[in-house]
Amino acid sequence: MDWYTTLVIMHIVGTVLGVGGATFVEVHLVRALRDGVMSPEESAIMQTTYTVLRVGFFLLVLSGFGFLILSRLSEYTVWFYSITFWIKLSIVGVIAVNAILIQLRWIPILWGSAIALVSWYAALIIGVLLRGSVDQPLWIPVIYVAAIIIVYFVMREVHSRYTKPHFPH
Amino acid sequence: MTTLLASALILHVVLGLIGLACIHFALMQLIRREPPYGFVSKASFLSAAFFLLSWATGAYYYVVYYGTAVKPRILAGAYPWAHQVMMESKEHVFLLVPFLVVAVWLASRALQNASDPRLKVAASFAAATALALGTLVAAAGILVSGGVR
Repeated sequence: MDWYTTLVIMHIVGTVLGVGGATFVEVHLVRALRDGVMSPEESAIMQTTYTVLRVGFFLLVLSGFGFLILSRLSEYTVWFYSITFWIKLSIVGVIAVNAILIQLRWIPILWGSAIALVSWYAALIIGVLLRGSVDQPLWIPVIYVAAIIIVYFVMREVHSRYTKPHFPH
Repeated sequence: MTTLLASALILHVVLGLIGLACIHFALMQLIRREPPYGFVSKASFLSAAFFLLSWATGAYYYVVYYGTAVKPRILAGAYPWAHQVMMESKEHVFLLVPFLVVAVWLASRALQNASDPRLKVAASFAAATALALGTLVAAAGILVSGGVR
């Protein structure tokens, strides 16, 4: 198996763990807060899901840089001039900064969750788009921000319907 | 480029990324209400070790290959700022990062023995600064690579 194939597999696994982890963080959170209290067992499940998410993020970043090294070594530098690529890189940065802001509680949890969820799916979709050509890449940030706002309101509705008022754990 | 130089470049990037991941994990734990200082200490120690190894492999590539084979191509190309701004910044800013991480390691060891909220905040800031600078250095590396045409 060559390096490129290895990196593709690593990138896919990282994305799967990240997108799956981000999705299940929200699912587990709603389930855990149905009674308004997060039990130690529910908290442990959340921690495990966060660990899976972090492993996915690490694999995604490591394999992403692997692609860049391969491009550099083969003198195929087209990636570096792609606006879509830089947008994806920025979104990966948003995922990392958002995780810190959530931990510090400097961002409301629902906004943080919306940003995390949309960013992971955006990274997945942009990764697919990077395989072809994107005619209007500057629309991506607009759609991305709109998606965050929509997901925030959807999640607020879900939480108001299915969870009881709670104190953050 | 020889296999040894290519390996040095790959190791430089990979070890630097692992160093960044370790300090990211350390920061995420440090900013908790009751941080597991043992974990923070191990993660920051590993981060410092990986950054220093990344230094060594990057230095070999820089001295043996970059200055003579890559830098002239960047300066003669369409994006000379990739070297003049990005690499010049990168090669000075990166010097700070392992020392900040060592400071986090020492602080977390001290915090293991005695709680000190001010030291915890200072260690968190040092870890966040190391993470931010390390990320900027990595981004500068991408821009420098892109400057080779």
